[in-house]
Amino acid sequence: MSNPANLLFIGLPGSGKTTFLAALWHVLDDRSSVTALKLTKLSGDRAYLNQITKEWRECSQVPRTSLQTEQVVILHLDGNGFGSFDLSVPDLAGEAFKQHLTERRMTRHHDAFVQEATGLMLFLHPDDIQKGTQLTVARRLEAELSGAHEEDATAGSADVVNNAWSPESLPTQAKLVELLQFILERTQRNLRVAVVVSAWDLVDDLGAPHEFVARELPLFQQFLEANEDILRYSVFGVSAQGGDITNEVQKQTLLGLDDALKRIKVRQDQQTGHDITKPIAWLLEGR
Amino acid sequence: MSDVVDAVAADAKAEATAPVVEEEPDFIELFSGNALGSTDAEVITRHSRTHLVVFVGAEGSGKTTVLASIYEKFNQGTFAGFKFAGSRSLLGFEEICHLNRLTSGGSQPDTQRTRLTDEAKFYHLALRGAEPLALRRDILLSAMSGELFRMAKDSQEDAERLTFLRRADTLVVLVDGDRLSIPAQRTSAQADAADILESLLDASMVSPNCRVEIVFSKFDRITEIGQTALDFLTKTQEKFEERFRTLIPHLSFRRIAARPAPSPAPETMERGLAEAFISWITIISQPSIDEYVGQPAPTRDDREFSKFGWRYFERTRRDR
Repeated sequence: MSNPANLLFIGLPGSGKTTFLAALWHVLDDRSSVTALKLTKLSGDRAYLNQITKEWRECSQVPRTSLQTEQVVILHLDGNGFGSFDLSVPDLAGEAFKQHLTERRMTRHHDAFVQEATGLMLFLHPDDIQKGTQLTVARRLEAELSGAHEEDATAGSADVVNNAWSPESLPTQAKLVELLQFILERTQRNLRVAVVVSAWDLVDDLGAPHEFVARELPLFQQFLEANEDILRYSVFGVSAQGGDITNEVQKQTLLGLDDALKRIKVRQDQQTGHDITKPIAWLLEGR
Repeated sequence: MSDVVDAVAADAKAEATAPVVEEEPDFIELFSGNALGSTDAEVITRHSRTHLVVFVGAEGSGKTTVLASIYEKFNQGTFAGFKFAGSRSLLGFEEICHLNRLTSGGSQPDTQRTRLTDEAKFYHLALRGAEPLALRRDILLSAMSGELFRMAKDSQEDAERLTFLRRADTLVVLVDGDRLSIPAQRTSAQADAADILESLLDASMVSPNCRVEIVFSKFDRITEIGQTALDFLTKTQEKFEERFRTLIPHLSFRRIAARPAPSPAPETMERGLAEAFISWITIISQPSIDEYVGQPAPTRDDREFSKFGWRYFERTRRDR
């Protein structure tokens, strides 16, 4: 086997890991676009890749990976400056990462993937960010918006029942910090982390991907910066579907494109292109 | 009969000599993320220069609110010139912040009270200065009720449980500004804080190198009431100065509002917390490095956290 590389896709349920993999396989298999990485030969068992990619090509919801359907995908790749290598990507269920947070344990199977990983792709969905808003801030905003005093703003909500605290109510940025802390705990390597903001089309007009993370997830951003001695990171905005496929008009527009490759958009800093292999190529630079 | 005895003896021997095969568990336990107990906190102090800040005060004086507010500041961005670099007690922090979060379903900001538990709880923050090439710092914060110290005064066993606190680099004694602004309660508020500090000194829990800061909390309430309340605060400060100055080499005073009510100058109040935090984590003497620094990694029998703690701090100690 040529020069292996092991990447780990991590992220909570619905963060876009499998959709990315489906779009990636379409691009590699299609071979018609300019990409940093190219497929050298077809993978042995392509049933899983073909299944998820079929859904992607039809603009259907790519099924989420469950704990029962986890797969390890092997891609035989080549790229300028990288040579030929086999890229191993376990497609792990977001549910597993949720379990790490709530049950505070990891299967030995997953631990082995963590220890072998040479780089991480950490996915997050911009529509699924729980902010952990403080009541003091919310009440102040309510008062400002209504032009009333803060006391007036709380008056209508006096009979609201308190919800008990549980680890599941953690803000997204705290969850992401914990996921990375678990991995840094279990690996002896210094890691590269490609942070992928999926469904980037939803927030593209709000600035560059790293600005989005700094604004929406400041604790997580600080964690990435403050651990620069053991991890290097870059933030990518990736629109793998190209738009909202639950909206019939948008779905028909996407299906009407003369080349499905045009659905894909990848942004790093101010540069936007269609090369979905770019985050992976960036991770591999650190090998 | 003797055959039976021999057979039983042979079986027993076989059982005794059979190798015990332990099945490897299917799961790796991860660190709990909860507030740390003394043993787990010690793992951190053993392997890094850790600054220990202990908040004490009467019930409702704002100990946990200050602690939660510091963490909330990092949730919003860099704070007091530091970046958040990690925490072994993220869940613990989140739990004490819960009652001031929209997700709690509450209508008014609140803080979970410090519980009078058997063991002190510690909250960990790993920080790095915001300037380039800044070093990483480990901070442990603990909020303890005054009652715990009074128990320590009366019982040797309770006092021994608090041994770890003798290594506090900074002791923050909170005086409840809310009670200080109410005529019927202000003398009690003053006496409660003085009693706690007296108990600590009596139990020899304040080292000569420890910074002791008497902090008038909820200062926004005092300014809201006006000059009468401000005058009483000044008088209280003078009393404390007179009573404790000779006993405590590094004594200082401060006024803060960790969670100020809307006011014309909220920035000033918030800047106050940042300045306080910098003061609390500034080293005035040799930091608390345990005598165990440099010892071999914990054995397999040590608690799971200790093993985790060791790996984590081995990886991050290079720049200390």
